[in-house]
Amino acid sequence: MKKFRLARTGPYWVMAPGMLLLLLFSIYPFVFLLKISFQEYSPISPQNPFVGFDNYRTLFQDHNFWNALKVTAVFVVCTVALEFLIGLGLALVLNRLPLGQRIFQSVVLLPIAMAPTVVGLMFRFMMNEQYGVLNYFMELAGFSRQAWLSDLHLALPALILTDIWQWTPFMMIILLAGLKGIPDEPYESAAIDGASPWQMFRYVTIPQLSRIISIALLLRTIDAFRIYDTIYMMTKGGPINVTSTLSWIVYDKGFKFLEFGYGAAICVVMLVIVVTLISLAMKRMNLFDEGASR
Amino acid sequence: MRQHRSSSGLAAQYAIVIFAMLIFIFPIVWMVLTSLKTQNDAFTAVPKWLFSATWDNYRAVLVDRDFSRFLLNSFWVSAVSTVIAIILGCGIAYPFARYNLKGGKNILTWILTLRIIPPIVSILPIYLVFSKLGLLDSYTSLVLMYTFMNLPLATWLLYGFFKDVPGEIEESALVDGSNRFTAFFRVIFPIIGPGLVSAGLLSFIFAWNEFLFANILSGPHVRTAPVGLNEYATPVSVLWGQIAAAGTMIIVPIAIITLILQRKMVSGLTMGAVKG
Repeated sequence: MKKFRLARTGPYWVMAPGMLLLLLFSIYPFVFLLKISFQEYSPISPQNPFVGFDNYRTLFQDHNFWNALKVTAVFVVCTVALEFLIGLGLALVLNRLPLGQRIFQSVVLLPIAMAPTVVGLMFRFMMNEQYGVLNYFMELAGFSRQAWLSDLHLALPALILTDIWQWTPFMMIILLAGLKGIPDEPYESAAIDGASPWQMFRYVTIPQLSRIISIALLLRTIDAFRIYDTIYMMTKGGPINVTSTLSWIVYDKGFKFLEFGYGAAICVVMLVIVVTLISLAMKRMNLFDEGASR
Repeated sequence: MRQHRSSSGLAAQYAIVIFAMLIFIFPIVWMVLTSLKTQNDAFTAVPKWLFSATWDNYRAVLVDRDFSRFLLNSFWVSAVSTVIAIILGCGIAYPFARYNLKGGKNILTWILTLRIIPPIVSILPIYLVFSKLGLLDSYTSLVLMYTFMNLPLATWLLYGFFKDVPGEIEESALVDGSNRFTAFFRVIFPIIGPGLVSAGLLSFIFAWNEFLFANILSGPHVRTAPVGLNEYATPVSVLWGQIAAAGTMIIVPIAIITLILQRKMVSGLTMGAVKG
């Protein structure tokens, strides 16, 4: 009888420490965050009065918030779309090469694995107006030197460029894995039906890849939405606020101005946005179903 | 579509791929070259491709600027959090893979969704809690944070590996008189060993590269390498040679791990949803 009970509760004991850690670091901070978003909260002040929805009211009238929302949206849409298109193009070309696929795959893994902080500083160095190597190449190509990161119109594109450099390989490698998984039969039967290369791509490749494409887009969107490290290293949100994303203004409000309550309100809005978007997407795709894997 | 392949078309394809690879590799090569240049050679409008290499930047960073200590901090924090994450991850993944537990699927999905939360959202409350507990600028805070950060990934990867082990293998061990624990360590462990290693190496990479939590939670005592790196870029003077040297030292171990993992990286980066 005793042995029976141990067998029933055994699995729960084994998973308890891990589950406890996950719960403690997710539920508790969330509740705490929600609470201080209704407070005028500063880590150094002795009193943190409740102010109702004041933080949220301020938030929706704060042009910095709307600007950050816009910057984040532009950043996410541009990076994810361009990385997907370039990555898909490269994957299609690479998939047809008879030799060297492995080597090229190994090479492109390097940017993915690099610390975004290092990538950010590296690109800041390369984009320097006077001695940046990027400007040297620009001049060779007949363009003029640019102060990439201090130019109001170029700072955000420069950040997008950096992100594309680091994460296009990710798209490429996932999509290539997907292409390798497509069986030959649908292509063969499409060839018998006299399909053109474009028709094969449109009606065989894309549908067969759809699950992989969804996963790649979803993961990149999640990561692009949280962009912080490279901004910290490259622009610090500037010039003015053209590269201030949502993550950046939370950091700015929280750790520079110590307005934790207000920062928390922005965080809650961020959570609502990201959870709504992702759960809508996941509901439609049923991505991580085991049966569908591969 | 696949059969028609003219040699000129193939050459064009190689040209495209090689050009793309050069773009992906150039910034890394450029950083390594810069790390070996003197200040004068590094700051030129027309880049110097030939120069006499010097280790001065590495010496300055490692000896004068304490970067060796930051690297060591990074190593310990990453290694310890990785080991804990893998152990706890086994604890969660194994029962879900073996037993038909109530609500197992929902709990696993919930663990997956933790990956969605932007880290900046966690940091405000966690900073407050850790400062109240006196845990700021301690190894404990970073290890806890990184363990939490890597646990969902570890759980999902390990869940996949455990699922791939046929139940019969374990049952035959149970019939032979072992209990669940010895069966796990004698039979399952050797089979999923390679999986454990790759999940561990991936967790290590993520912890090693992490900046946001480290920047806020660490102080002078447990500064990690990415945070230390940032210190060489002050508004007054930016010592690019030293930054390049420090940056190179941050990416070398990761580059080695990447070469070991190869395409297993793909499955890791997608939480096991795509197999490489």
